[in-house]
Parts: sequence; structure tokens; C-alpha cells
Amino acid sequence: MTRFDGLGPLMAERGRALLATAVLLTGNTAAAEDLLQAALERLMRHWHRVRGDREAYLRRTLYHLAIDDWRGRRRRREVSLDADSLPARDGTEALHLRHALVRALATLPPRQRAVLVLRYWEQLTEAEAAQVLGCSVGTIKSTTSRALARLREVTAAWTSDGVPARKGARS
Amino acid sequence: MNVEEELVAGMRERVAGIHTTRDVVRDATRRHRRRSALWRTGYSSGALGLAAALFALTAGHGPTTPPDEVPDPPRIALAAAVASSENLSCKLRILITSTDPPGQEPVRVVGAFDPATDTGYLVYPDRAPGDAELRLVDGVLYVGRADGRFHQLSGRYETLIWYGPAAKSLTSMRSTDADSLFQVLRDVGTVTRVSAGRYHFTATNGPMAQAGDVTLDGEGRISRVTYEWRFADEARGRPVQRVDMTMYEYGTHVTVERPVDVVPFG
Repeated sequence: MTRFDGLGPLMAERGRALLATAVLLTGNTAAAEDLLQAALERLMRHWHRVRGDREAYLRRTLYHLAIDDWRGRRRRREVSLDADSLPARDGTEALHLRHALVRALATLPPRQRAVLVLRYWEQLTEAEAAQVLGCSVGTIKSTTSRALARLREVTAAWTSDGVPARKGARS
Repeated sequence: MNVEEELVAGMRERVAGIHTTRDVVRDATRRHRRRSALWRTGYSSGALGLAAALFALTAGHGPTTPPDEVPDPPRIALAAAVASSENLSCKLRILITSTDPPGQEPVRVVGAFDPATDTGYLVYPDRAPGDAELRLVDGVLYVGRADGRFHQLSGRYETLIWYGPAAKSLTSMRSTDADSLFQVLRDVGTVTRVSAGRYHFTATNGPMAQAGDVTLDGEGRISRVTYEWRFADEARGRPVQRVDMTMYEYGTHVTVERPVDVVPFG
């Protein structure tokens, strides 16, 4: 019985990339697997109607589910650069900074997070990102701007020599 | 420092070497089957309404049930029974009695269905062989005619439900699409515990209102559903149909032969 012909090969070939997107959308692997599973279930429900690029359908569904899942969240975690995450003067400052940025990404509102992932991970244009999320290019622009401003708040805590000026950043 | 560049680099580092910790495709397939299996087994529009009601319970739709004395709320207990029943093959025995006008003989239907293989059948034992019989073989649906021949319907089916081209008024009920089903589920009603292993439910789906009982077997699976339905805007009137559906021999192997004498449909 092959109800979902082609799904196995698709996931074998592209599953890791889809999971990577889901991780960036959710912030952790367990939640990413749940998100990917939910997207797969939706694809299965519409299997015979999704005639074209099923990976594109899955990817688009990941974004929409991610936004929907977190839509009701009222309170977001604070980005905390605790003592253990502070960079030592050993040349790993940039690594720590990037780590902090990705952690901050996970605390952004879902739509801002999705837009940043579309623009900077998927490398989509503003028009393409707007098409995926079903919104206007203007919305993508403004959302990107707000999201980056929030991330800059995090990086503002870091001085040019890599030493944080203060601990923590409001999200 | 360029935040965008650092963010891209951070993203790459974050997902480098990432892999799944479980079989997501397998889990999605199982859940998909669980969610869709029960409503596949519905037969009449009323049966579909029932399946919709039960399905909605598992999905958490509907108003909150009043407090109950049993440890587990009835809604949760019934949802658990649905979950343990819906992905299994079983045999079906259905008795449909139309009550408007009164005095009609009940219609008997028997069959079996395996949601894992999209295979099953429904037969009217009191009619001529083949008449109105449904055969679903690996997702291909055949509808029997009074002369013993079969139509093969185009497309792929995951259900034994087919109302025919004349039943356009039942469009919202006859869809096999899960999203449309969810629309039918919006007005699902209440569940109360009648006794050990028995629950009473009410539901309103579109123009129909259902009320009836669900009985569980010794293993917590649904063994029998009896209910009646009426048009919701005539809720104080008499019911228009009573349905008695028995599900048994869970896990049975379902094999259905493709009809030999098949003619195009339409």
C-alpha cells in the first residue's frame, strides 16, 4: 500500500533541511520535530490536492503552523546572557555572540521569527517571503525591521571588544 | 558588526549536524490514520455526523462538559476510547431506521473496513446482490447497481461514504475532506457518562442534531453506537432517523475483491 508515494524519498532527501528550518522557527529540536510532524499530517490530509512541489507545501506549512502555534503566547522569555554564556577573551567571542543571536531569535514573536528565517536562512526576497506568508511586501519590510531592531538590542549589550556591557536584554 | 551576517552564521552553526531523534514520518502517518479512520467508517449522513462528533471530541472542540463524578471527565474517557479504536480494522453492522414517515422497515447494512489499506465494503443483505453495494479496494471505490454490475468512481477514496451525484444538499456532510469535516464539527455538543463503559452524547452538525449512546467493549474500544438524528431546527419534533451501529472483531483482516463487471460512471 503506497498512499503517500514519494513522501519517503522526499523526507530522506530533504528531511534534514526541513528540520533545520523547523528548529530555527521553534528554537529547539523537540518542538521542531513536533512542528514537522504537524506539517506532514497536513500534507497527508491534502495529499491528492497537492499536485505540485510537495516540499514547498511542507515548507510553507511549517511557517504557517509556527506562526499559528505561538500566536496565543502572551509572555515571552527574556533573553538572558548568564555568566556561563559570557565570552572569555579566548577568541570565541564571535561564536558566543552568534549563539546569543540565535537564542534571541527564538524569543522573538513568531511572525518576526518566521520573517527572519525566510529572509536570512532561506535567502528569499521580500516579495518571495510575502508570498509564503500571504502578506504584503510592506509587512515583510516592517516586520524585518522590528525583528532586527530587537536583535540589535541584544548585540548592543556587547562592546566592540567582545565584552558584554550588561547582562541580559529585554525581549 | 553586521547583525544580519552574524545571524546567518549563527543559524548555520545552530543547525549544523542536526538530525531527528524519532521517526517523524512514521508518527505523522500513524496520527493521520488515527484522526481520519473513524469518520471513514461512517455510513449514512447520520453516521458521519456521529463520527464527526466523536472525532471532535478527540480534537477538543465543543463546549466544556459539566462536572462529573467519575475520575476522568467523560469527554476525555470517550476520546481515549476513540483513540484506541479508530486506527484498527473492524467489522460493521448497521441498522438504519427512518422514522419520517413512521412505520418504515429498518435497513440492514453489514461490512468491514481497514483504514490502513483503504479497503472495505458495505452490503445491503436484504437487497439484490450488488445493489447499492460499496467496495473500496486500495482506495478505488466501486458502487454496485441493481443489475449486479458496478460503477468505478474516478479519483481516490479513503472512505466508504458516497451519497451519489443527486445528494447535493448534503455537500457539507458527504465530503471526505478533513477540513470540511472540521467545519461540520463546529457545533459539537456534550458528553456525559451513563454508566461504566457507556456515554451519552449530543451534537449539532450543520442542519442535523444527534443524540445517542456509545458503548465500549472490555478493552475500552467502541463496540456500539446508537443514536437518532433530526433536523436541528425541528429539535422538538420527532427524530427522522435512528441508527444502531456495531463495531466488532477489531483487527480483522479485510480483503475485498475488485468487481469483475465494471462499467464507466456517468
